[in-house]
Amino acid sequence: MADRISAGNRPAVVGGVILVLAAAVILPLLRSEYALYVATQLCIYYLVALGLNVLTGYGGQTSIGHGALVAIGAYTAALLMVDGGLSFWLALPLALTASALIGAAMALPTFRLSAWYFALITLGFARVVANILTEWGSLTHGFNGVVGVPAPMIGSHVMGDRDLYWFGLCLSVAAFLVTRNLLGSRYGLALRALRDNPLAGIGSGVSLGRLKIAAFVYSALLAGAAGALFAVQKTVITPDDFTTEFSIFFLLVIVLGGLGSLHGPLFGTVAFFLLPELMSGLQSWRLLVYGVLLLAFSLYAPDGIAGGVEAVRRRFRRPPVRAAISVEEAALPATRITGAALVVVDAAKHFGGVPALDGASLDVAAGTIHAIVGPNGSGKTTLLNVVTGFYPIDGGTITVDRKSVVGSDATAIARSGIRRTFQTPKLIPDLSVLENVMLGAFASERASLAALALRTPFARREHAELAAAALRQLRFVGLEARAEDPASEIPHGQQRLVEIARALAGNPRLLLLDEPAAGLSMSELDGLCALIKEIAGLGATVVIVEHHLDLVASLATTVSVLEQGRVIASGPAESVFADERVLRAYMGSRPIASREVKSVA
Amino acid sequence: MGLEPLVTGLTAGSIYALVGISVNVVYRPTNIFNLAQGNLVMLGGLVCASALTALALPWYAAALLAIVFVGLISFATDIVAVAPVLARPRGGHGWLVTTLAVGLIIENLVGKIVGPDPMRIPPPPPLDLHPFAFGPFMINSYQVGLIVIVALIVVGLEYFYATRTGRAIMAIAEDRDASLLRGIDPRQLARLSFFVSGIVAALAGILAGPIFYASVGLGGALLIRGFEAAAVGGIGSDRGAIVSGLLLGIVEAYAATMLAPGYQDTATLVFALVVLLLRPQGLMGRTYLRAV
Repeated sequence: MADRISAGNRPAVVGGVILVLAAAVILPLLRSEYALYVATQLCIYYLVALGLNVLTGYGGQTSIGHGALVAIGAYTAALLMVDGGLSFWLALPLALTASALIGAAMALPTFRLSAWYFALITLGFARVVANILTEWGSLTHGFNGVVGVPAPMIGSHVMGDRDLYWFGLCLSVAAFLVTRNLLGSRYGLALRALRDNPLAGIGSGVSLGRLKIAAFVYSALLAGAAGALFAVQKTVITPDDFTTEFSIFFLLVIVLGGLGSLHGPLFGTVAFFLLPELMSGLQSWRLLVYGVLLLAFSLYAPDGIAGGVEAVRRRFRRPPVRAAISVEEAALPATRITGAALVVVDAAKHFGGVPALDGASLDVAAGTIHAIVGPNGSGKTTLLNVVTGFYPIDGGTITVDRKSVVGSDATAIARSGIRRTFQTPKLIPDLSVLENVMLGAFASERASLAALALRTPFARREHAELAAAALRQLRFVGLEARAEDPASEIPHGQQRLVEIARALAGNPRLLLLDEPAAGLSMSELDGLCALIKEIAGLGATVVIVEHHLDLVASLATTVSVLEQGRVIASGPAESVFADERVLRAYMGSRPIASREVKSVA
Repeated sequence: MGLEPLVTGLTAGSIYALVGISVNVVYRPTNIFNLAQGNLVMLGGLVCASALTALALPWYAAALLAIVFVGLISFATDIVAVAPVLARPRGGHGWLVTTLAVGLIIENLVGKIVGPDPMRIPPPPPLDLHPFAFGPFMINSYQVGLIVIVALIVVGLEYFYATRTGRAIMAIAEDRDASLLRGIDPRQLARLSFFVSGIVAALAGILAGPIFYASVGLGGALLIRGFEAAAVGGIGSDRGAIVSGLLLGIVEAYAATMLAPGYQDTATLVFALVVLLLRPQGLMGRTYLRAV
């Protein structure tokens, strides 16, 4: 999908890249010390902003203390070179490692918590690092800082300012390419799920904790590299280089450039180097200006400069070039699935003192369609949530193909081929419909992180195959035509179908649908009915929680009726719906009365 | 390691508890952590100190002025920086950046007007800072009074949450959708909560004055302590904030005597991280299940 989008705008993108590179190459030719110094700084700041944008812009994990990671990189490199006598090329990887490890240790406790804890802890962490830089004088040289950081050597050649700039530029370009590749991969999709709809990520088998750590470590690595470069460029580093302002600066750069936009960090960094020229008279008001800019951009231009550029570009865009995915590939028949049997025995779940499930049992044969019906609050969705691991169970057993799933978390359960949809469809609005479906295949992609970062031929081929498979799922649910539309523009009824396609992209042995018919029109309902039959036709076991009894009667092989957390009847639809206990529980006594009336008449 | 740090720690800790409580007041109905909170506390102290010196107001009048002023600024924070972000369909955690920005603006504007020098706030009469022996401790009447005042503020808040309006706020904290169905307007209660939170923040700043002095630099430190107190205690739990605020004060005071004063921040952050690692919901917090 990402390929196709860039294919449509390739001239614009290529033009932009040539312009930036041309500027980058011409700058050092100006033979101005100052221009060279600024250009190298630009590279350093760009590296930090690039990583921060992955974490904060794409992943939604706001780091307010990113300057501290730069400080750790800078001090590690500088101290190893000055006091340890190491060469830059040894100090650099150690600086990266230090930033990543210390950063990860700090962020670890927040991974089970809401994203705002993370923001405050990064802020506290930045203060602590600032304190340690001055307090631990025997290590850091205190207020004096580290003086005389030597220039890196290549063999016996001492790298001058110009060499350092070229090195910084190469590092920036390489970091950009790797970042672009990763953001275009499944990890890019998962990051946006983490930001906009974590449950969609979990349900697709994404381990959010590991993803958060990965995003944080990645941004810390870039910050560490930038720090090492910072140290050798300045040759003197002091605690004053790494104040709170330094961290806020990076946050402002990515907000200004455009959060969660690939080129945002570039726009932001460049804008920032033009800005000081414009406000040189306002030096002492700088932090105030930062605050006002942060507020103004967040409120009135949340997509930043990149958002503005995008809006202009869209006005002049040629019609999109369609379908890089070959029709033959997409036309391949859907794969056969071996359905799994689900057995729930005496499931119990309490909320506070209130039992939601009170010894519910369920027996679903492989490859069948099983419906769970029952009045509101009878525990249907709770049952679905304990089976899929979204709630831990308080008692009883759940097995899928005779293997217990109790104690597994929702991610592991999703990865084992047990997929679900939600009562309210959980799509990621920023992604296209196709990308939303591709998220469902997150767990089946085999290309390693390294392969994705380098976009090896294998990774590209696999990505194309998964895109084709996702398109096939969309054709299967009848939404192929909307594959490229943003998910935010899809009407509610179709969102449910996209979610079903996403679940199917995980090749589920067991598929659980939570009220798929809610809010659908009559024609959509017929389509849904046919679709569920087709899914079962592929071999998957389908469990469906539904209020719509006509749908249930025409679809379900077997039906279970829940009341107050227990299954009161189970069996073929005709016999269950004829059961008087069921009628009384589910519909009150009215239908029975009406039958009496009917028999009298 | 004497008992001396215990007294210092409990005194500072009561201020941290108060900041943590002011954080909770906003958090309950909105699930928002106002990053300008530290600077609101700082503002309370400085407005009071300025009113005492420049306007020569009596202590209680100066305090009242500061309380109302900060309450209104907090209220305005909601209108300007929080409500618009929440009203956006995909605002997400955008309020983190906007409230941070408000904090920066307050801090730097105040810095421009008042300057960097710390200002002294005397204890409220009849309390004073003359030390006297109390068993093995040397304490002063302000330290005793401070703990009583903090307790009174908490009791006052609990009365507030027992009123009809207060119960509506607790209902939103408990179950947003269900309370919407009962005709509670969360926006209105959020605005009220921002105002009340500003009042508590200002009180924290004024009461911190006799111990820490009031200065522009105080905001950043108190924001972190307020966060640690609220998070360690369990976000939304005022009693938790008191316990953890006092604990943080003690940790900080012993870190200062045993290591060095510069390691106070490190000690409290490590303490908070360890607690959160073991008990993500905090000491007295409740675990809410994810809504599926």
